[in-house]
Amino acid sequence: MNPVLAVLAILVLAGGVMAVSVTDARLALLGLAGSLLVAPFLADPEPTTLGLAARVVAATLAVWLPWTIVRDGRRLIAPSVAGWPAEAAAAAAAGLAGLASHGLGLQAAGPAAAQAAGFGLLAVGLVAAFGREPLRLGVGLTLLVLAATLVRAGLGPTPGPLEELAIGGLLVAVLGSTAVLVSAAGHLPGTDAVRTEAHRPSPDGAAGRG
Amino acid sequence: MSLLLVVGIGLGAAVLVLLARPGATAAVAGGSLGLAVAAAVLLAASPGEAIRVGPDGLVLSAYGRLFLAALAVAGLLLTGTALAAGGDDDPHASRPTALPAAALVALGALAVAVSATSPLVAVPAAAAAALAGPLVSLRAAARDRAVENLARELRAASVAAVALLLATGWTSALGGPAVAPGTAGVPAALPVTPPSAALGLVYLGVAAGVALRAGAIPFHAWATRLAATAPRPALAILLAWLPAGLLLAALGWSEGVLAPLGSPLDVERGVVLGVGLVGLVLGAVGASLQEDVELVVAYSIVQDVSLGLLALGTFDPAAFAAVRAWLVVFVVVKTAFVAWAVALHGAFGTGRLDGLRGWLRRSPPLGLALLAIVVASLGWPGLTVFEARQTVLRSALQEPARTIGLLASLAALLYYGRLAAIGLRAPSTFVAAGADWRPRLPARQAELGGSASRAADDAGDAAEAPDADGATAEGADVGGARNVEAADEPPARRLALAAARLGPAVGRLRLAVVGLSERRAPDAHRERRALAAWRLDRAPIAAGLVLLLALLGAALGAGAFDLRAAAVGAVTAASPAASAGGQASPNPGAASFAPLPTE
Repeated sequence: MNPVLAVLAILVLAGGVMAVSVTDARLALLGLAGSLLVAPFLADPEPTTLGLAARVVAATLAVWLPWTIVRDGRRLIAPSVAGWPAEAAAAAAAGLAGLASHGLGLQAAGPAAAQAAGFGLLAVGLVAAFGREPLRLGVGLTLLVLAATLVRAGLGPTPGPLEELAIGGLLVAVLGSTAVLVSAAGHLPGTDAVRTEAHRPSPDGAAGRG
Repeated sequence: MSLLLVVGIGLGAAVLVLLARPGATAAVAGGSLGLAVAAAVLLAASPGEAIRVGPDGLVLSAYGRLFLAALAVAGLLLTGTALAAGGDDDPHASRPTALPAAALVALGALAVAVSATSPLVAVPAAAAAALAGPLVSLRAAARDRAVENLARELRAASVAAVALLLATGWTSALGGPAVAPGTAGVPAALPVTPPSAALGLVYLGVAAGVALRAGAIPFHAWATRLAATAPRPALAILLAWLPAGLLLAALGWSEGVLAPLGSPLDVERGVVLGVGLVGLVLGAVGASLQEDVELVVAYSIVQDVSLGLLALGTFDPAAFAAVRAWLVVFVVVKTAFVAWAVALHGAFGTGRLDGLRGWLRRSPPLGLALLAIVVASLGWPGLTVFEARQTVLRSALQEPARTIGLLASLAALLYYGRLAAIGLRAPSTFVAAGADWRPRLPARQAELGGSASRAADDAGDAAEAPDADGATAEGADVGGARNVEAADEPPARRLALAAARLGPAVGRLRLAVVGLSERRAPDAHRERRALAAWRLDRAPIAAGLVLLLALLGAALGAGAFDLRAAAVGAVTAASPAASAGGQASPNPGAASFAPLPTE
């Protein structure tokens, strides 16, 4: 296996684990941005410059949309139920399964590292995608979509520029919808969608500073 | 160039949605203008226009052009209806800010999906289009429930996208990366024979993804919940347009990649056909049992989508061509049905069927529109829409399931008939106080004085009780008060009012008079009265637009614009050969849904 691709796969998984484990919304989006930006490079041969540019621009735009909602102040989301070590272990195990099953019964044309990263992200994103918290839900769904594109890159030939454009549009659509959802949930009284730290109750029961 | 323009307009609309304030007039105007320009561009475009980007490309087939143009025109008329009918319990619904822009976003993404020469491009593009829904899914009222339902919609659309991406990704390893959607013919080389069990799983994944996003039974819970909280005009985009695009992409993959492999997949196809048949039956039952007009519309769409699943359960090119033709009629007719519900709600202030008793007596134009919708939806032997449905059923099912399927699709008459029967009953207080477009003679008007007072009393009671949506009976309150005012007017003015009812031209004068009296009313309800007068003023416009939309659907259902030929020709127009030459192949089988000869 190409060691560069292996490193890139680990980076993608690390970003995914970070996105679903941290409690700061901005850090979650940063982790997600890392995965989204590195993922298109997981192909052999490397995609065209146009395709890569499309994915990088799309990843930036996709993350920017929910970022506009959570950027002010330290916003908290519920922590991962299992904790980051368990998430990382699950991602690693699923990644190894993906590596071992490269091709899924067919003669794969893409790199094994892409499929391994795709399987790892599927494991990480699955629990988050069925959560109730809007931002966590959106992050989980984005990871699932990204995982599917990585599995495809690991199975078939390197995606062409038009396919990369379409995938970029899809990722923007998922995170754009997430931004709409987080924004709407944030206006609900008593919602725990995205909480600012300032509003958390203090240990003596009094509300924090507004 | 036309394709790029449509996609560009769609992207511009996305920016418009993001930047516009709720209720911004500029967003509505800009979106509507964008839809009009997109429709004009598509109608002027020449089929066969090709754009090549790397190994893949986009080819505007005659079918794609017709499908997209129909969407643009339907979106424009739907926006007009929403504007004319006004909102109900949403202060911004009378200016549907996001509706035209969301329609454009969907149009832009669907333009890529239906024109792509590779399913690897078509599927993510259609999935991206399917995620345009959340832009229009939120309604200011019932916001907490709307947020929950929006989360469900987002999850359904994303999971469907993942299923389709995984399936097309797996089949991309079969060889021949540039397999056109709808290309009849085996890919040039199939180096690997796929294991049939895995192939079956992949096929089931695609069907489940489509069924999930389309809200087909048994995946309908999120779609029907969404229907209760989403803005009414948005239902057409959410439940009809976006699933149709995904279904087209799945059909292209099934026809171009799966069917040529020759694997029968009998068990898996049986599951898909079973789900389709059950959806066809239970969708009609569900629509017939609902008490809200929005839910009737939602279930009717859920029922019709099942026909698409039946087509997906066949590997028959004739069924694929037939369902493509049917899908164009489907999106236009269901948009007309949604617009009809919007106009009805706008005219009478309620969506509850018991509150809509007598609607047909008061608004014959909407009755005419419903009739056109029924005809366009079901058709009769010889019409394209009827023959397309028959072709799919013949291809997908065997007796007695075929007869059950036919009867179930005709069972749509049950809920359409129920709506009409409710409209013929004695008017409810909502309807009595709502729009009345019948011309009246002065004597008849005088005779109505007493009944108007009674209606006002009833309406006053009804106004206190919230309806099922949580909205107050605003229309009844306002209309009732208006009738009381009319009864208390001096005889000369009552005569003038009665005379003003004689024709549409003079009717405008009546509305002006009523509007003046509304403005002079000193009570606290003045603003609501003015709003109601505004709605009544525009109710005939809404009905006219719905009728226009329904007639467009009927024309398409009858095979206008060479729909049948375009649907069959879609198979060849997007082929790599055509994209290379920039010309659509001639289509020898244009007169029927017969499979094309492979070249």
